[in-house]
Amino acid sequence: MKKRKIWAALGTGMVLFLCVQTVSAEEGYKGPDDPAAVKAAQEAVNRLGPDRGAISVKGEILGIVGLKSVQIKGISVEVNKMLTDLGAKKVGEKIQVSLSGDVLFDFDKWNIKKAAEKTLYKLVKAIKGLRVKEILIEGHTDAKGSEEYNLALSQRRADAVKAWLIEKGGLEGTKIITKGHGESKPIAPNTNPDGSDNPQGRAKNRRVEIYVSLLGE
Amino acid sequence: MKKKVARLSLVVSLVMMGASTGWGSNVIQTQMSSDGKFEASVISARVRGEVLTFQVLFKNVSSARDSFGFNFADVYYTDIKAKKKYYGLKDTNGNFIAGPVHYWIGGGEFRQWMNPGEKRIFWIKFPAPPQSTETVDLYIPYILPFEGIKISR
Repeated sequence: MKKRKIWAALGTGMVLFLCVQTVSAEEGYKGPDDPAAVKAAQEAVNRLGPDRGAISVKGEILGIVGLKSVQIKGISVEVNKMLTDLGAKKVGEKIQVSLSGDVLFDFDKWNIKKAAEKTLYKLVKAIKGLRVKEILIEGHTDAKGSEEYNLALSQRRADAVKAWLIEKGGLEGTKIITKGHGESKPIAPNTNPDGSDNPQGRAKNRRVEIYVSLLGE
Repeated sequence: MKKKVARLSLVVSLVMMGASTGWGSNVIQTQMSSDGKFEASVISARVRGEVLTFQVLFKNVSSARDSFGFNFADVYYTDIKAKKKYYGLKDTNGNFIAGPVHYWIGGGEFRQWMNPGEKRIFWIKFPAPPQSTETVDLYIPYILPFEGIKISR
């Protein structure tokens, strides 16, 4: 009788454990000891070959490979033109490029639209012509929807731009940081003085701002 | 009797969850996020075969609900002795072998909303450093570097 109770407890416990694991994992690997993760990791190591994907630390620290050594005062004519086309401004010691959220994303989405890629390629070309220290990508939304939702959406949009710049633009990911501000930093009123909706103002607020800090001498 | 079975079941499931997440493990090293809102503790750095697995426990130490996250692509470790740097391992779909995954962009991303005091575990797999390497430095965006993490083999 006692043994049956223990077995029943073990069985139910196991079912509960599996349920929690499945729900919490949702997608991807269930945990570090998931046999699928262990197998995939070993296969990944095998694909890397004998050096296991090791990168020389010295090379990483000394400079950003592939970027021209151009000082801010000496930006080439071509880079300058691209920055002008992008509407870039100098904010303090940083170069700021503001891109419309409506150009980059569909409503309520955070995948980069195909139509936006031309602008992003131009941005990448300009960035590659600069001596970059760090790139900060900030996401902003309008005030429609809850604050928490907008904060998450703005973060996802900033992250999506970062992912694009790395994967398609070939920029160094470790130099890029992201921050979602949600609706907290509007540049235009979301409503008119009479309290009615201001769609033009809201459109201006839906944006991604990119700040490029440059290395000094 | 049913109550006893239910209680035992709960205990069994909780013990198994604890074991699987490593929450009962010892903290190897703790660092703060650059904004001071989150605490990160390396609770496991273990080599099995040719794979190094890190488990990191994040805790919201602020007084407000907040989110913390980063792309798996930006997490790496360095082996100062061998002057090498390693990024996370990717599967054949191009996704990092790490979790939990918030969404799949750029190989995957960790992002969690946490109430004050709430904790979440993050794990990621890397190629193991050479057998002679005993300590490594782990870098996670927005968290101060973990230096001299002793790995277990």
